[in-house]
Parts: sequence; structure tokens; C-alpha cells
Amino acid sequence: MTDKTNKDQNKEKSLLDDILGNAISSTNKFDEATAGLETKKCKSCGAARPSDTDLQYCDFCGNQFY
Amino acid sequence: MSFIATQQRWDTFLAKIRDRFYEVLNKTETVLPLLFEATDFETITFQNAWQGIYSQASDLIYKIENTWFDKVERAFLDLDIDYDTSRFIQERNKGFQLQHELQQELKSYEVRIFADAAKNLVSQAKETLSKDFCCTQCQAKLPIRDNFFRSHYTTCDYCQTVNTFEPGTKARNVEHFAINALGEEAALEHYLKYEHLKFQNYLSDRDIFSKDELIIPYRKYIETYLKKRIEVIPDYEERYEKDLSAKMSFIIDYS
Repeated sequence: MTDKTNKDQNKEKSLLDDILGNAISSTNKFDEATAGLETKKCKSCGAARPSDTDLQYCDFCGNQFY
Repeated sequence: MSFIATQQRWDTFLAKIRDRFYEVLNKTETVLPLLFEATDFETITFQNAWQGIYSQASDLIYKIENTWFDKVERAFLDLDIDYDTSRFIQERNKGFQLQHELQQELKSYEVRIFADAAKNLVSQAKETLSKDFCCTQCQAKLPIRDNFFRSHYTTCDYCQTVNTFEPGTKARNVEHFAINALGEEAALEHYLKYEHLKFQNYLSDRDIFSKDELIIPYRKYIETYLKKRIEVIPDYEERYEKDLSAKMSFIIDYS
């Protein structure tokens, strides 16, 4: 009776371990982004993009952003 | 085998299913939150682990129905107890009642365990967003909202530079993971009521509750869910009516 209970407990433990193990090993890991700021800068003159301008041309030298 | 003996075997089987079901859920109650913390609040691993546990619990629930139709029903019929007798219906309903009870319990458990993880994630995200973020050009402090979890532009008041703010994966997961869990938690009682009324119709094999009556708790469920979502992310307010009508069409048009 005790053997049976131990056996059941082991089986139960192993089932839970299997589920958790599978979840950890089978999940694709991606790089996590951290919180922060960046500014789009012109490749030609290095100016940052001021407000009320778009991402097409640099407001200072007219160079194309992309 | 006599009626009493068959009934006892059926009762014992149902009691074992119930015990096993709670055993599975109790064991995972402490493990899943630990897994979530150990993986640094990684939501996909958490969801995959839950899926495995959910399958185990669901298999147990559906074993009741399958065993009834495969074996137990035949055993009672062989005792010359007809389909329409009260004794037969009572024995069949015992199984269906337990199946419904465990389904409701599994739903409540799922909602609770996801909501606990979600609260943890939201507090982590808010902590991150409450830190100081400075302009990349002049280092002036930028105003960052702690209830908006997407990347956005923010203009520096001093040098007018446009900064792109990236909230980070944890904060983004508030929208992808936590908001649904918190909405489900807030609306759970209405969802359970809706399922309970549907089950009463199923059990009696007729519409005790009309479609209009079923819509009432379902609408409360959706309304409470959407309002909770707005509480966490106020920007959802402007699409409340659209979301409400889209979610209600599920029951109005397809059930």
C-alpha cells in the first residue's frame, strides 16, 4: 500500500516535471528588449529629428533619412 | 451485477476523478508562479506550461462523459433500466453535473493563476516605467506615462528633439498577456453564470433559458472585461463600443 502511494507520488512528480521541463525546453527564446530611448539622427549631418518634422528628410541639411 | 453495485462503481469512479482533478491543480498552484519568476516573467513558457496542465485536467473531465457513453450507460441498460426512467436520468446527470462543476473550477483556476501572474507583471512594468528617462540629446527628463505599454514618440520640451521610447518586453507583455488575464478575473462571475445557464439548458435538453436570457450575463461579462481593460490602459476607451459590439456578435450571430 505504501509502495503504491510512493509510486503514485513519483509518477505525479515526474508528470509535473515533464510538463514544466517541456515548457522550458520547447519555448523559443528571443532577445528581450529593455526599456529605453533612441533618437533618429541624420546620417549626413548628425542632427536629431526636431518635433513637427517627418521621417523623410533631415530638417537641417535636407538629406534623406531612409 | 445489481443496480446498487453498478451505481456504487459509478459513484466511486466519479469520486476518483474529482480527487485526481484537484490533486493535479493543487500541485501546480505553487509551481507555476515560481516558474514565471524563474523565467523572469517570460509569458510564453508560462502559457506552454499551463497548456500541459490544462490538457491533463481537461482529459480527466472528458473521461467522465466518455466512460458514461462507452461503459456505464450500457451497464445500466443491461439491468433493464430504460433511458427515460428517473433512475437512469439521475445517474447520467450525476456525471454531467460533475463534469460541469470541474469545467467551472478549471476556468476559475485558470483565471486566478493567470491574473496573479498578470498582477506581478504589471507591477514589474510600472516599476520600470516609473524610472527616469532622459532625452538622448540634452539629457532633460522626459515625461513617460506608466499606463501606456507600446513604443511611442516623445518630444523633449527643452530641445524639441523627437525621442522614440521603447517600453521593453515586460511592459509590452502587459498588453499582450496581463490585460486579458485581469479582464477575465474581473468578469469571471458573469462568465460562470452564463455557462451555468447554458448547462441548465443542456441538462434538461430544452431551452429553460431563452437566448435573450443568456445574453444578459454574457453582456455583463463582456462589459466588465472591457471596462477592466480601460482601467489598466485608458486608451482603450475610445474603442469600447466597437469592441463591445464585436464581442457580442459572437453570441448574437453565432449561437
